[in-house]
Amino acid sequence: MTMLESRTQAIPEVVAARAEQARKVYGEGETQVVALDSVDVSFFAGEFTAIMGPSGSGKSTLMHSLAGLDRLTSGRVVIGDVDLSQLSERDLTLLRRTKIGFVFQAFNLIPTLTAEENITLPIDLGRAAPDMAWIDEVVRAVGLSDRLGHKPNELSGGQQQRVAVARALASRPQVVFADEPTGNLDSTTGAAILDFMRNAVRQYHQTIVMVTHDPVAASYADRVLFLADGQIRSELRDPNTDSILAALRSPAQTASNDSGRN
Amino acid sequence: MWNITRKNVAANKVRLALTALAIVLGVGFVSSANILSDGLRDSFGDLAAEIVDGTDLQVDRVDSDAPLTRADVERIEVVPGVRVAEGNYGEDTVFPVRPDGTLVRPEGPPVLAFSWTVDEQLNPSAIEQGRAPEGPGEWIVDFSTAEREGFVIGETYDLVVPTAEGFAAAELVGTFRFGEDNQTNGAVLLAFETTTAAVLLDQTDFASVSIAIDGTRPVSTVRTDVEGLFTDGYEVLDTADLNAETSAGFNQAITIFAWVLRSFAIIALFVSIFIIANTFNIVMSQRVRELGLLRAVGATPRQVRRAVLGEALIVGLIASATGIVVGLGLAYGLEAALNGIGAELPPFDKPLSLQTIAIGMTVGVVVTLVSAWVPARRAGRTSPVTAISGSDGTDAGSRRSTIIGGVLAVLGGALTGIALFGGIETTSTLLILLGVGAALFLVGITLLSSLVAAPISRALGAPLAAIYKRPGFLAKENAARNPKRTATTAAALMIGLSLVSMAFVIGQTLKSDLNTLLETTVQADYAAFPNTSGLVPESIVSDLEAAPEFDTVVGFKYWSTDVNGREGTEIGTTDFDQLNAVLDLDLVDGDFSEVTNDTTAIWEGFAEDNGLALGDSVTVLLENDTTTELTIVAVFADSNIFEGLLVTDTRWDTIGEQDTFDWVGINAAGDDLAEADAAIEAFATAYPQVLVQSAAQYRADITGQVDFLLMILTGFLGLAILIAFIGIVNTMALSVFERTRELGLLRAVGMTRRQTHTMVRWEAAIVSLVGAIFGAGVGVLFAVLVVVATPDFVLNNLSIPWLSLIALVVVAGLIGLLAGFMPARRAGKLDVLDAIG
Ligand SMILES: Nc1ncnc2c1ncn2[C@@H]1O[C@H](COP(=O)(O)OP(=O)(O)O)[C@@H](O)[C@H]1O
Ligand SMILES: [Mg+2]
Repeated sequence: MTMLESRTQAIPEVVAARAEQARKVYGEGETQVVALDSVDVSFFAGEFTAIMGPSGSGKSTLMHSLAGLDRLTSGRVVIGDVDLSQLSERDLTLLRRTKIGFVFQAFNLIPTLTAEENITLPIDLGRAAPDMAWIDEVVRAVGLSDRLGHKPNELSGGQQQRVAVARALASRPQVVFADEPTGNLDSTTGAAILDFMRNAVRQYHQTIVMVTHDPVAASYADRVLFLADGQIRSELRDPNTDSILAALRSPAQTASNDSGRN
Repeated sequence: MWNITRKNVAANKVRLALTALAIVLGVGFVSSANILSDGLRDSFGDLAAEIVDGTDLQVDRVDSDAPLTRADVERIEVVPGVRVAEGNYGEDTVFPVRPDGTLVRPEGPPVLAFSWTVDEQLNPSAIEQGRAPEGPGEWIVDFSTAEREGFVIGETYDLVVPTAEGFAAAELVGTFRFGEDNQTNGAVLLAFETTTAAVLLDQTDFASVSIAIDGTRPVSTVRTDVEGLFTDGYEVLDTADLNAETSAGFNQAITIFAWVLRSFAIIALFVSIFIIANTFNIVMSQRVRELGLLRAVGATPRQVRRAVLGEALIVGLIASATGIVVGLGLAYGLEAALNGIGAELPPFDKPLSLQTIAIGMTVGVVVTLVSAWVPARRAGRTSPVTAISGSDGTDAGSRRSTIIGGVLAVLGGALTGIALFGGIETTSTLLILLGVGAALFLVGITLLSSLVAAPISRALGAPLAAIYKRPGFLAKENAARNPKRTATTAAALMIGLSLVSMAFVIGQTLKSDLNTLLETTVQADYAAFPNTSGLVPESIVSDLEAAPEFDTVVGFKYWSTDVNGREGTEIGTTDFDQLNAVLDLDLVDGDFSEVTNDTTAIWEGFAEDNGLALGDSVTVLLENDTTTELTIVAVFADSNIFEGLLVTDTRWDTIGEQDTFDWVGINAAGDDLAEADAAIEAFATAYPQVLVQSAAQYRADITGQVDFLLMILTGFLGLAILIAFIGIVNTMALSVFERTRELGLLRAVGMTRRQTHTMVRWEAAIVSLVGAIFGAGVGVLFAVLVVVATPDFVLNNLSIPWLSLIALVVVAGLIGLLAGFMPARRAGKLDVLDAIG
């Protein structure tokens, strides 16, 4: 497979999440929109993947489907070795709680809970004893120890997003999905969040999938996937801002990388 | 955008429907009270018309001392143009006795005994079977009663009558039909021949004289002539006057009944105000961006306010109209319910008068507009900046509302205090003061309670956090996050429950006072009371004493007179030699046996209030308007039975005019009450006008009556509680809508549907519990005031039914859980993607 052969780095062994022939259709007849068109994609454990693409290309749909927030029209999503299409509503919820982390663009935190309570929320929703050592580690890494007792409305936007990332990591999920996590932040604050995420991948072997518009943000990733019209059109390994901008500008990318998906 | 609009409409549908429902129920209840009273008034109006139909003129005594005798009737009969005149006697303390010894005595309608009018035109009734009564020992009864009771013509029955003897035996010689179709509206009618009636009804003067004219002269002329026969103290009425007077008598009872119903409706509407105000407030804060935008593009505060009030007006109009229709249905339901608890209402139409419609519409619209007033003002004050910044939706109790709340609570408390302790005589003034005072107080408490709603919610929710972990914790935090919203929603429940718990406390106090009375004061095995509105005849004491089954028999008579210038001081007499056997009045000083014609035994409280002690003298006003001095020879502490002076029988005769007993205490001869029970049973048959009960029977009787009243009261207050329930549903539904994103987030990070349900339902339960706790607290406070304000022999030692109150709070919690059901389902069904998108 050319897509894999194009890697310059050692290929990670384990697939943390994958979509097979993922197809998502909204509406019917005239107004029908194919948001995902038979997407095959794998995300490797311990890798930071960015998904880019024009607005309406299906980035959010792909992420939501992978994260068990939305169901596919056809095809399947597998997290670790669990096939999401087979799960009941309840099991899907439990899977989100334990195996998946989320960071949304905004409104990530429950206003009635303190920063710390927000971080441990997914764990607290379950009955299992939390891994305190790990949580301490995450809390330390997030660098907000003096603000842990504060409610979200007492935190800045950047601090709120950090708490959100910490929350996503707290249950040591299989994959963390982030939908434009820095979209609402200024570049300095955004950079700190992205550093923190990349650090989680490097240091703790965390798997992160992030949707972004911003080539600078995408440059923090190990790998960038380019989406258009519901299909993955190309990908970049070890990107930098320039290579991403080049890829985005290339009118040919739509056709040239088609061979990557049979 | 379309998504948001759709969600808005869906949420508004529920909101509008629930808001309207509160008004629909309130207006429905008001309307049904009006429909019911109109219907009853019509029904009794027809009855009144039937009664006076044949009477052209009637002479009434205005002054009860003015004589009206056979001589007067004869004087009337010779007035030119008078065809016939007949004197009437009437009394409502005569009761037929069934063969088993029980009295024919319906709960609501009266038993009316009167003299049988011979003239067919004057008499609204006519013989149905048998014949008219012609002399002593004969009576007749309306045929419906005869059929219902199985009275047979030719048989002899006992009748309880207001003579000294107390009862008489008479043969039933016929039955009669009242008016066209014996529409007695449940009343029992019986009649005697005129002279017999005078004896049995213990009356010397006629109550009235009915006159029929012969048509040779106009009624007005005859009336003038008849009026010429009498001086002041009488009045002469024609058919129209009579009709008005008779109807007025019925109407008074109906008006009281209607106001009882209306007061429950007013409570329900009062509760609705909180609900509607709360709903509008929440919706306005949810629409704050939209309102800000309106202001930004140039809408004046006035325009915004009007737009909101316009919305309220539409809701009010639709809901009131629906309420009136519902009221019609409720009228039938109420009729059935009231008859179900033994009201024996006559059959009546359910007319929907223009007045009912006008009142229903006005009340509904005004209540809605009043409720929307504050939210509309707030909406008008929205700053245009909020169009961009939005608002966080929280509304902690402000300083201003705290001050207003404090002022209202104090003002309301003061009015209530004046009503209870201000010595107000007029019942209507008293009730209005009490109602307005309590209402202001409740509004004040509601405003103040938003200060403590958060900590109370947290305290109540603390166990939930332990039981349900994070969902329980969130339930408690959510209940605490909008203290004003929680306080207002809870207030609706608080009002209903405060009244229920007040009733519980007063009921319990009545019962415990009764127990104290029976355990500490009353030593008698049995007590005899008047069974009718008459009194216990003196002969019963000697009869009972003669029976071997009984040992001591002591009668009590009460009266009131001026003592040391104190008007209305209780004064009584009894047999001091045997008093201790039946009653323990808790003697603290002196000795009862020393009471002679010039001495008295006095209640400690009265002595203290008047600075009196053993050996002092009191001045007592006698019947002949002179006074006498009595020396105090005994002081007793018990106030359950009596709070005044006790004198000897001989002294009594110079003070009070009554020679029958108010009650008689009886002790059985042996320890075995079985024999005595049988003897008592025999006495019950011999003295149908007397009710003899053992202490246990008496207790069961009174307890049963108290419980029955509590049940009815709770039933009627159920409407207010239902509206409060709707309010909780409404608030929770709006809160869920408001927190759509938050719920979506919770679901995304792994909150299951069940956990979502738990969280929302328990939040509702906490709000409900806050209301219940405040309600119970305020209710106990009200009850304490009432107990302190009423005389000790009515309500003495406050007794709080903790178990019932706890049960009430638990029920309120369950109501909250139930109210949270629908909003919880909505929260659980939220599409995660919609919510976070
Ligand atoms: N709930 C929905 N209903 C109908 N169409 C939708 C819905 N969600 C997304 N779409 C459509 O699917 C396509 C992909 O959307 P999305 O995944 O949100 O793209 P992106 O995140 O890349 O902007 C778009 O054409 C969008 O209009
Ligand atoms: Mg998107």
